[in-house]
Amino acid sequence: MSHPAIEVQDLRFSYPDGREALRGTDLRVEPGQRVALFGPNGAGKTTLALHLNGIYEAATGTVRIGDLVLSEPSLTEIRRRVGLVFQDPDDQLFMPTVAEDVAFGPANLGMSGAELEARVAEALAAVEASDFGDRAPHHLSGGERRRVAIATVLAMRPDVLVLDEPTSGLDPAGRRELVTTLQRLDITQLVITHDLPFALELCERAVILDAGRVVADGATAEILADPELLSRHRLEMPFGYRLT
Amino acid sequence: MGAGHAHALYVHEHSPVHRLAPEVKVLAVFLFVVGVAITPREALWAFAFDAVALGSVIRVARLRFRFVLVRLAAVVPFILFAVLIPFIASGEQIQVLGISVSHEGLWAMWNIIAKATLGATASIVLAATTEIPEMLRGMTILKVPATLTAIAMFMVRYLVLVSNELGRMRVAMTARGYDPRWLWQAKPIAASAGALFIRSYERGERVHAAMLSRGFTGTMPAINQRRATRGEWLAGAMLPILAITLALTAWGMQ
Repeated sequence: MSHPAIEVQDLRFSYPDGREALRGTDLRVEPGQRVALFGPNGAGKTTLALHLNGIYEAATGTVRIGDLVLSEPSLTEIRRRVGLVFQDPDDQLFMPTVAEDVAFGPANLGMSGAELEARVAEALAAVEASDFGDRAPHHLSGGERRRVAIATVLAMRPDVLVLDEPTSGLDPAGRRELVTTLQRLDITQLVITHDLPFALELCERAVILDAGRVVADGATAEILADPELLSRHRLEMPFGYRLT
Repeated sequence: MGAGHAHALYVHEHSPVHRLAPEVKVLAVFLFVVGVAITPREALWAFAFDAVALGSVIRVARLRFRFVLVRLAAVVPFILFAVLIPFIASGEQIQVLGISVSHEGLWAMWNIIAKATLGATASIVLAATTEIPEMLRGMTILKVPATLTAIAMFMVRYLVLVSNELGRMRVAMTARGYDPRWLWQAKPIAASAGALFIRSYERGERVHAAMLSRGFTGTMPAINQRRATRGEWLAGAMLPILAITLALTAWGMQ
C-alpha cells in the first residue's frame, strides 16, 4: 500500500491577531507529482507551506507526509522529508559560505566529515552550482542564489520539495535555468506561484487556494484555460496568452 | 553593491600566513599583544625587535607595507590624545625644541604610541590574512562561547543586506525631495531607523523559520572539522614567544 506524499485534511489555522488563514484546507499529493499552488495574495499559500513541516501548528486537522503524521515526536523526520524553499533566498542562506549553508541541514541530522562533504557536493551538483561552494551568498546573482537555496534543502534528501514563489525576482534566463533544474529533480514538488506560464511548463496538476480553502483542483492546462475560474480568484494569464 | 563590506580589511593572497589555521592566528595575535603590553616602556630595543619580527610576518604574508600603513591610520585618534600628555602631565620638566614638557609625560606618550602601533599592526595582519568566517571558526575552536560567535556570524552575513536596505530607503527619501540640512529635519531618519529595526526583526523570524525547517535544534552544528596541526601551532607560537620573552628579559634587566 502506498501513502500519498502529502496529505492535508481539514487544516484550520488563525494568526494571533484573529485573522483566519486556513479554513479547512484539504490537499493530497501523490509521490512524484509536481503540483502548482495558485491563489490571490493572502489566500493562505505560505501559511499552508509552513504547516507542512510543522513551523506552524494547526489548530485542527492533520498533516501527513508519507506514512508519518506530523506531531511532536515526528517533527525531526518530517523536517527532513519536507524541504521548504523560502521566498527570499536571503532568508534561507544565513551561513558565511555556500558550502557551509548546504551543510547546515545534514549536519543537524548528525552527519560530519567525508559523508557530509559528499552530501554537500551531491546537492550542489543537482542544481549545477558545484563551483559555488566557497562563495559568500551575497556574492551570487539572484538566479544562483535561488538554485543554492534549493540545494540547501536537497542536501537533506527530502521526499517533498515545497517552493514558495521560486521565480520571484529572477530574470528570464534565471527562470529558464530554474525550470530545467526543477524538471530534472525526481522528487514530489509543491510549487507556490503567481507565474502561471511557469507552472504550466513545470506542473501537470494545479490547485487554487482562496480564503484558506482549496477551490479548484485539476490539470494545469485545464485550469489555466478557464478565464472565468481564474478571474474569480484574482488570477489571469499574462497578456497575449490564451490556452484552449 | 556593498559586496566588499565583509572583506574590506582582507587581502586575497596565498601566503603561508593566509594558510595558517585561524585558531592559531587569533591566539598568536592575542598573546603577542599581551607580550607587547607587558614590555617595560624603557626597553626600546625590545620594541625594536617586536617591530622587526612583525615586519617579517608582513613580508611572509606578502602584504604591502603601504597597505598596512594606510590601515594604521585607525590608531591616529589615540595617538593624538597621547601627544597631549607631555604638555599636561606634571612632574620633572625638560626642554624639547625650546618647549617645556613633562619627562614622565614623554615616556607615557611613547608607551601608548609604541604599544598601540604594534598591537594595531598585528590585528591588521590578522584581518588581512584571515577571512571573517574563518576567524569566527577559529574563535569557536578557542572556546569563545558559541552564542557570541553565532551572533557575530549573523551580523556579518546580514550587515550587507541591512545596509543595502538603508541605502534603498535613503534613495527613496531623496527621490521624493528629502534633503536634510538641519537637525529638525532629522525625523525621517529616525523613522527609517525604526523601520529598519522592524524589518530586520521580521527577517530574523524568517531566518529562524528557515533554520528550523532544516532541523535546527538550538546549537549550531560544527561543519568544518579542520584543526590546526602541531606544525601550525609551532609556527604560530614564534611571534608571541618572542614578544613575551623580550618583555620578561627587559623586566629582568631592570
